[in-house]
Parts: sequence; structure tokens; C-alpha cells
Amino acid sequence: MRKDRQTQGAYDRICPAGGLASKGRPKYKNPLMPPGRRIFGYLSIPVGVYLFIVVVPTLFAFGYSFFEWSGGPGKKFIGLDNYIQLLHDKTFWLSFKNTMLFTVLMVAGQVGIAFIFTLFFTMKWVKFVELHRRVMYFPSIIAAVVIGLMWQLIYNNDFGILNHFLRASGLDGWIKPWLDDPKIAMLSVAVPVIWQFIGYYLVLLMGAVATIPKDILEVAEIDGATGFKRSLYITIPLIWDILKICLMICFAGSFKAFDHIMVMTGGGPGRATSVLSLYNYDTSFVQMKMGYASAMAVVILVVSMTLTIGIQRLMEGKANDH
Amino acid sequence: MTIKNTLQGMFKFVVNAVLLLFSASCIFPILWMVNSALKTSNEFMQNSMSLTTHPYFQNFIDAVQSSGFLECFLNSAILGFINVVLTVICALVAGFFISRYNFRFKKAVYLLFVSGMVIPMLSLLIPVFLQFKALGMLDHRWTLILPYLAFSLPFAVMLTENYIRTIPVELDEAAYMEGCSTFKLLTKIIFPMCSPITAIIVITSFMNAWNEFPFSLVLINDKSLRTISIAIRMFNSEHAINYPLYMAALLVSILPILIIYLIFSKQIMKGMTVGAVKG
Repeated sequence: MRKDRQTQGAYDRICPAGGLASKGRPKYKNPLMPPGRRIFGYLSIPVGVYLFIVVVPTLFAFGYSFFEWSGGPGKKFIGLDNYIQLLHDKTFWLSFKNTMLFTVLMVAGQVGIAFIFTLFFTMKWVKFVELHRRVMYFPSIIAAVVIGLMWQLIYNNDFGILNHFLRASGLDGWIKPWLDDPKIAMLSVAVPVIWQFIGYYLVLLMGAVATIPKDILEVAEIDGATGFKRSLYITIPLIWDILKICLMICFAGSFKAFDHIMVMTGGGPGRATSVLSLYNYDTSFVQMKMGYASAMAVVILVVSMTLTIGIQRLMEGKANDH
Repeated sequence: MTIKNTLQGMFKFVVNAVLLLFSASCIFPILWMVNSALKTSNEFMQNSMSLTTHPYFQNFIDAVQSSGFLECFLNSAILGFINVVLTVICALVAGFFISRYNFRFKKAVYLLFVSGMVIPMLSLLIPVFLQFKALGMLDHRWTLILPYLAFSLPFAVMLTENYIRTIPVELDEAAYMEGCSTFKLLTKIIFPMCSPITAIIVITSFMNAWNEFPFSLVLINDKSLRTISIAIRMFNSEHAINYPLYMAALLVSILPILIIYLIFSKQIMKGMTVGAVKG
């Protein structure tokens, strides 16, 4: 028995116990492995919690989506009517459009600006790089609610910083009711979110830049690749993978824009800044249409998962690689 | 040549200036709020940008003492603490078994956790509410524990799983030889070795719980169980509009995060980079 363990131990050293990596090899059994019952016992708690919060609710929502239900005791089975109604719901489509617009703004704004900043930070003539990094990262750790409320104050017509600066620089004509003008409200709510998370992607990208071996950069410089040439031919290709991950995170994250918009405009003025998550909240807690809201939640989940996985596939599924 | 040089010089100057401006914009609003929170309401209304001449600390005292604020603050602190403990334990267990053994459904379990990184958790808001409603789980002191734990787990599990892989298996073997049980191996050997990763998980899972908003909005109705995010959102409507007081409340609400950031900014940034790169 003991001998058997030792030979298996040697086998483990050759094929380390990282099981996923050994895919395709003959199945071996780590001799130290406790009986399945015990593993099950240990894992049941984390997996159970996870299933209970992530998977089971989806099933609940799927079930409710076939009923007309206002949250009270009476439920009426109406088949697919909720889904059909959703297809004809103008506000739903407006929110869908807003969500897409918001996502594009987030990806372009957050990752785009962070990417440009990162390239600048590789240049020798840019000062205070470490200070910049720490300061710019700072907003991203503050609660989204606080950022939203803070920007509400910044945008304030009477005493907000923004209008104050505009007045001070003689640009009185630019002063606008930032959050109350339906035409610009969507942009006004997008700016704080972009502003908040530039530093987050900046730190990720700069982490990637830091892994580029110094000698590669030096050799490149000796060969005459300086400034933008170096960025184009050395830096960008070498941080490409991280850039893709940033895009993924940003894409999945921009569906979460609930907190900021909820506290800044609540979806208004009118429905100008309504995004899917906000409209979903509205149908369930303001209009009390629980069945309809369930159907919408199912659709949002399916759409966002499909889009996320689709984009991931497009970018060669880096986020799931192991 | 000289024209090119001056152009280049100007470009460099502009870039540096833009970066400095952006950096300034990241802390200026906070400084503005600190300055404003130290004024009386009248002072603030007269001139919102002037520097405070006689710091008026009463706002901070009033904010903390305002009805329910401290209670919500403590609620969030307790939730954050529980979330930290549970996340660390669950991530250790899940990370250990996934990285070490080839049991059935291992891949499924791993994918389950990883998928949490791409599922927009917000689309679960209404479903979780309906489920909790059906099971009578709304409005309890422990209501938010499970959702917070579930949202902190994917990142934590991935981080621990990756880290435990780097701990040599020989260590387990030796421990088993000495008659160590699985439980002892986990608590006495693996857990202490994971301390760098544990630090990151402690910080992130606390911040997750502290900063969370939508689920506490939806799952909690009882005033005495509210979290800090809800408290500050309601602050303005529940108190007569007094902006300096309001800003003081906002500042108090980010104080724990601010302190954590000032002490651990290095670990936070490092943890984030590791998490994303390995993911």
C-alpha cells in the first residue's frame, strides 16, 4: 500500500496534480485523495451557496415568467404572453438601446483612455508615473453609490464644481442642466462611470507592461524603436492579451451600471437614461409586475450571457483559458 | 529640425498637463467635499468653492449622530466582517479541492465558479428577490450574507486555486505520512501558506460587501437592517437639505475604504492584477 503511494507520488510530480492541465492523459487518482463523500461534504457549502444565489433564482424567475403576478397571492398562468409583450414594449427596447450605447461608451472610454494613458506611462518624459497610478486608481474603490451622489453634487446647477469652473473660465454658455436635459443626460451619467474606472484598467494594463522584460525594450531602443514606434511594435503586441481581458471585464461590467444611474437620475428625465437593469427594477418594484419582470430578467440574463460569451469567442476565449 | 523639437516639446508638455489634470480630477472632488463639509450650510450656500475659514466639525458629529446612520454603518461593518470570514474559508476549501484532486464533477465545479466572473450579477437582482420572497428570507439580519458571499466567491476561489497549485504536493504527502487529517492539512498547513493571497481576499471581500448597493436596496426593507449604501442614499431625503451635513455623511461612509486604501494600496493593486492575469 505504502509502496503504491510512493510510485503514485512520483507520478504526481511528473504530472502535477493540477487536474485540468492533465486533460487528455490517462486518468490517474491522487492517492492522497480523500473519499468522495468527504470531498462532497467539504465542497457542499461553497458550491451550495453559489448554486442557491446564482442558479436557483434563475430557475425561479424562469418559472414565474409564465405567470401574471403582482407579488400577491393570486397568480395566473398566461404562457408566453409576458415574452410576447416584452417584444412590443417600447421602453424595453429603449432601455436595450441605452444599455448598448452605455456599453460602447464604457469600453471606448474606460479601456480606451486607460490604454492611451498606459502607453504614455511607458515614455521616459512622463513625470510622476507612480503617483498618477495611485491617484487614478483611487476612485475605483469607492462605492458606486457614493460616486453617483458625488457627481450629482458636481453637476449641481447652483453650486456644482463643473458649472463653477465653466463660469470661472468664461464659458457661461456651456452651462447646462446636465442631468435634466434628456439629450445629454445619457452622456452625463456615463462620464462619472468612465472617470471612476479608468484607473482600474490603467493598473491592469500597467501591470502587463511591467511584465515585459527590460532587455526587450532596451534592444528595441538600440535598434532605433523609440516613442511611438516602440509602442506600436513592442508594447502593444506584448500587452494584447491583457487588453483583451480588460475588454471582457469592461463589457461584462457595463451591464452593472445600475448603482450610478439609479442614484443620479433614477432613469430619468422621462426614460432618457433608463438601462435594462433599471427598467427591470422599475417593472418589479414600481409597477409591481413580478411575472413580467421575471420574463425580462430571464431575457436580460440570456442576452448578456450570449453577448459576453460571443465576444469572448471572438477574442479567442482568453478569459477561460487555463 | 528646431521646429520639430519645439513641437515635440509642446506635445510632451501637453500630455504631462493632461495627465496631471486627470489625476487632480480624481482627488479634487473629495477635497472639495472635505472642505465643504467643514462649513456651515449658510457659508456653503454663499460660496461653494471658498476655503473654510473656521472649520466647523459639528457636521461630522451631526452626521454620525443622525438617526440610524451609525446603526447602518455598523450593519455594513458586521456584514463586511462576516463576508470576509466566510469568503476566506469557502475559497480555501474550494480552491484546495479543485487544485489538488481529480474528483467527479471537478471541472463542472470549477466552471461554475469561473462563470461568476462573466455573469452580470445584476441580472440576478429580481430573481434573487423573488426567490427570497418565496422562501421568506427577506428582511432578516442574515439575508445579505449569502448573496455577498456568492458574489465574492468567484474571484476568491480562482485566486486561491491558482495559488495552491504553486504549493508543492510533497507537503501534503508528508503531512499525511505524519497522520494529518484533511481538515488539519487544510487549517494547519495550507491555510498559513496562503497568507499573501488571503490578505488580498480579505480586502476585496470587505470592499465588496461595504460598497454593495442594489441587493441591499431590494432585499432589505427594515430600517434598522439597512446598509450604509442605503443610508447615504436616503440621507438627503430624510434630513432637511443641508449640503455640508450631507457631504460629511458621504465622507464618513467612505472612511473605512479610504483607510484600507491608504494602508493596503499596494496589495489591492497587486491582487487585482494577479486576479485578472490568471483569470
